[in-house]
Amino acid sequence: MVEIAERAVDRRLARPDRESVPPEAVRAAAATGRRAAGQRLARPPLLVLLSGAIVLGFVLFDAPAAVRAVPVLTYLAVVPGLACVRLVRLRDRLTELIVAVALSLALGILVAEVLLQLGWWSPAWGLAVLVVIASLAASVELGRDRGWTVRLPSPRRRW
Amino acid sequence: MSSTAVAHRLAELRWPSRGRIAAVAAWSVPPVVLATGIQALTAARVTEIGPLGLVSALPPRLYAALAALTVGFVVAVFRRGGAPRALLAAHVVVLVVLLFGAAPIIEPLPRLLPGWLHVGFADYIARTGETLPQLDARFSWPGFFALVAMATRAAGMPDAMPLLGWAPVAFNLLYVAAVFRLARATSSDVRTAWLAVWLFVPANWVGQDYFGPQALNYLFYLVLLTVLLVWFRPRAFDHAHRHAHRPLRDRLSRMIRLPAPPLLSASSGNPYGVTSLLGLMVVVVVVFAASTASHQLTPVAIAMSVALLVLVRQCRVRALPVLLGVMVVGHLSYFTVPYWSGHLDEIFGSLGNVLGVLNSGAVERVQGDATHQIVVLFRVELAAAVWGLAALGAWRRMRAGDNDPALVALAGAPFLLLSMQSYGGEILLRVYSFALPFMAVLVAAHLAPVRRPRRALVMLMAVVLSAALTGAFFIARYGNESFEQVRRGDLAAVDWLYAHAPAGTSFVAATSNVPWRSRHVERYRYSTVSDDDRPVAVSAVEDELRANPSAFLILSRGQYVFGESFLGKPPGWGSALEQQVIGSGRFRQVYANADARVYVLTKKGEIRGGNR
Repeated sequence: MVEIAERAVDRRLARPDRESVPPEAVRAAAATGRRAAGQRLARPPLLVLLSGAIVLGFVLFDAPAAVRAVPVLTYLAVVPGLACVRLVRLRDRLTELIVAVALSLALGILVAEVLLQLGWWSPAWGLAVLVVIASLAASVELGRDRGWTVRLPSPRRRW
Repeated sequence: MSSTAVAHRLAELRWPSRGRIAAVAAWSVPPVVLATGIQALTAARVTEIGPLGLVSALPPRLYAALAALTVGFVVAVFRRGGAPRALLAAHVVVLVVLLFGAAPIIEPLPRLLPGWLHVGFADYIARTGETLPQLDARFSWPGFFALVAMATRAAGMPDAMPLLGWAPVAFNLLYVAAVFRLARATSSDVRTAWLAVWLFVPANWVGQDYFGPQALNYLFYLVLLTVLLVWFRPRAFDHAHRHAHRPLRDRLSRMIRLPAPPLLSASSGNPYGVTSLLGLMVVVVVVFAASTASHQLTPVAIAMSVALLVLVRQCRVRALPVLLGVMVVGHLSYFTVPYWSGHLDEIFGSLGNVLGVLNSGAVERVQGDATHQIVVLFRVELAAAVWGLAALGAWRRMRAGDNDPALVALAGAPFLLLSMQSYGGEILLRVYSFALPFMAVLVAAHLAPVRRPRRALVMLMAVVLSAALTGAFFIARYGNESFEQVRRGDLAAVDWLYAHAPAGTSFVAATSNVPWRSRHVERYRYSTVSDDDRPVAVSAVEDELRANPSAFLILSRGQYVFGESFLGKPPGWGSALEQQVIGSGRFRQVYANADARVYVLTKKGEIRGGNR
């Protein structure tokens, strides 16, 4: 039983997204069930980039509504704001989520309104602009977490 | 890793043996209540909706399920050592689903016609890429409709109708998350925050959470104030300032026996750097810009609340109200000219006339038949009760030394809107809505923090208070369901019209309660004969049809119920009107179903569709 548990903990420690944090910090965090200080998951920005490409693909190839409705609406409601808010490194997930949703919808309103006022109305272009915004923010986060920019400690606490 | 550490870790993963049954029982409450509640709502019949609304159609099982949920939540929140946050959140989510999902589960079509109209506005923008400010004032604030148009078309949907029914549930789930964070930022006790959220849900009966700009802007309002309260309050408590010698205030404090202890919930410091705070300020400005582009009232409410926060020294960004004010005025000056150029009196006519605004917001709304008047009076009394409890809660917090100037300022700021305009008679509802999150925190002060000897009594109080609010919710929110629901027959008649009437045709109805304009807002002329309490004469209907080429008259049960219940027309006026229409010999029926009929004039009317 002890060996099984040790293997489980080792598997957790072997996750690639934890490589940037000192192993002893991760081991201590694993022992308490919490994430170590400074530990940032690389997965979310990569997911932002990937999901942007997917929803743009859906729209460009005119996928049926049954396939793309939920992913596109979810993307528009969450992802652009989340990508931007993660740059601020808020400390609790609940606040991060609600600020992300509000910011996503606000960015959507502003982009749609600009397209409307300039006479460039196109839902696909609107989505593309939001994907670009989200991807830029995700790229900045990725670059920062890989040491290309100054990195700040970001202990998170649960809400 | 040593074997002892692993064993310790494994022990943590298991339930404590003594509390295992209690934990299983606690965790089983939300899913069981959800299943029971949905089953009860599915079994309810829409035909049983009576003059008091949805409450007459709700089965007793739903009330039993909600009672169990309430008891489960109260027991969990007052548990020694605290309950898991996920457990408390699960209770809140189930409560939101059962309260705000009751109508979409029972009724076959989305309720509330303004939401249908918003779908039509978004449809127009999606088709044309333009707005129609001359058609409707709301097109001067097109942000929400443009967003919906972009999102639905990008998602491959023909329109936003699938989003209509469950929008209130989605919005309220977001609201409760923001309210929890707000409550946590203004309370020293986590129980207060949970209780505030729990009370907020049934107290939010106002019905401004349907698919529309105001629902989204309410989220903006909550999130923006959350950001300011959590990250932009004064860095540390200024003892020197607080205890400075102030003769008048000290005398007043002694007179009303106010102690002056330190703020328990004052922020003790801000660990975020300048860059992070700058980023958060950008979030505030972007969200506010979206708000000014999408709603008339909410930006004003936000600016007032922020100004009061600055005045009570609870916001460090002192220039922010000026910036927000400039943004509001800038948007009004450049983007809404078609609206205000002809309606200056409508906008500024009520400035300072608080009594007039109160009259149109409360007294004039008590109209319609006796049952509707009961519902309206019930809402007024419920709002007054919540405000009264909140005032007492503020007093209690003050006596306990947990007074928070930000909380009181934000609860009071929306009342400043009363000095501006009546907002179509809805301003009191909006004031209630904007103040509610903070009122809920103040009401929760009656229940937490709690001293150990009084725990049982406080738990009983919490159960009674939330049960009373939940019971009142169904009458206050769904009391008008007899005419706020959309009937299949009414919609079928409208569908027939769109399928058979050529563009440019006029559609005439006796009252405005018709599920039209969810598409083709610009292709047809829509008019109503009478939206007051007088019975409709057949001659007036004929004149309206003759004034328009190829006009169609639609008469439906939704209009009749709306006329009787909301407008106060005499009972049976609808069927009497229809008898006159048929008996006059000047109309010909071209479509009929159990709930609705469509007529054209026999002499000049042109029938484009087949008779039925």
